[in-house]
Amino acid sequence: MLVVIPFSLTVVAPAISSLSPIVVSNLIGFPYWFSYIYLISISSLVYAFYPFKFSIIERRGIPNLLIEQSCIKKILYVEVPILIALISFFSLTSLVSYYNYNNYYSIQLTGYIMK
Amino acid sequence: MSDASLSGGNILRITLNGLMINLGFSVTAGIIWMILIAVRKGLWYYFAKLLFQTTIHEKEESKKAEYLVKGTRIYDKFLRRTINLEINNSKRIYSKILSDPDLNKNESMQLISDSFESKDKYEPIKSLSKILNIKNNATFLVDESIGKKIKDMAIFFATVIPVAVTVIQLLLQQQ
Repeated sequence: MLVVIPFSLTVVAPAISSLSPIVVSNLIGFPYWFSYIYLISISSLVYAFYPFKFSIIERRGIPNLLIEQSCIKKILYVEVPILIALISFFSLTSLVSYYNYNNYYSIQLTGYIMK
Repeated sequence: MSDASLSGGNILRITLNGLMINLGFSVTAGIIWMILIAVRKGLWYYFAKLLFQTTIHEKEESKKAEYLVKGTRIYDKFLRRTINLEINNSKRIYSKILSDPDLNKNESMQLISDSFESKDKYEPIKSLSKILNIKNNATFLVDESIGKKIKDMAIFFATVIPVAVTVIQLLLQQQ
């Protein structure tokens, strides 16, 4: 669930969007209705809360829980670095674009003053 | 398809953005799951019990040793979480079982596994100290070391803090 949902949605969402482009909003000029498909990944949070009740853990069985724990650990070891890398990438690109934006207006402003 | 500019760069950017959103939810779910499991102190006892019981039925020797080591460590963790005491040098238990030529490995494992059948969750302490053949039982359990406390907390915070900081940073940037 923690692997299939995020990766399949990432692939499926743009594909569906290109097949049936219903424009709800635009992002960089691209119909962005598939952004709502990403909301499906919120369902993975439901999975997170099942150990809240011990009766559910008992029903699923301790051996399964032990296997799940080792699997989730491995998943997190892979997904956390990818997430950090992606966030850093977007932070850097937004920082660069912010700098360029300011630089552009500072050049315009300088030109205006020079006139 | 409207007047959308479908350049490769844009698609890549949007796909990466989507991947980031999806992974964000997935990682959050995973961390919450791990926290909820870690908070339940009693579960560590059942994990140790299961591992020790598996050692008896396991035929492959390397797997047996692996479960024995894991079981001992997890039971030690259970003791630390519940009574703030730890087994004094828990490594000695599995190293003795695995390497002592005078000790029957299978019998020792059976003894530990049987002790987990008791309703008393601290019964395995007795069987473990019996295997080690300790004369002074007062030194078998000692106060939890600060090093292990820090290590436990460090693993938890090393996972949660970077993710939390980066998510907050991203949210602040988008506003």
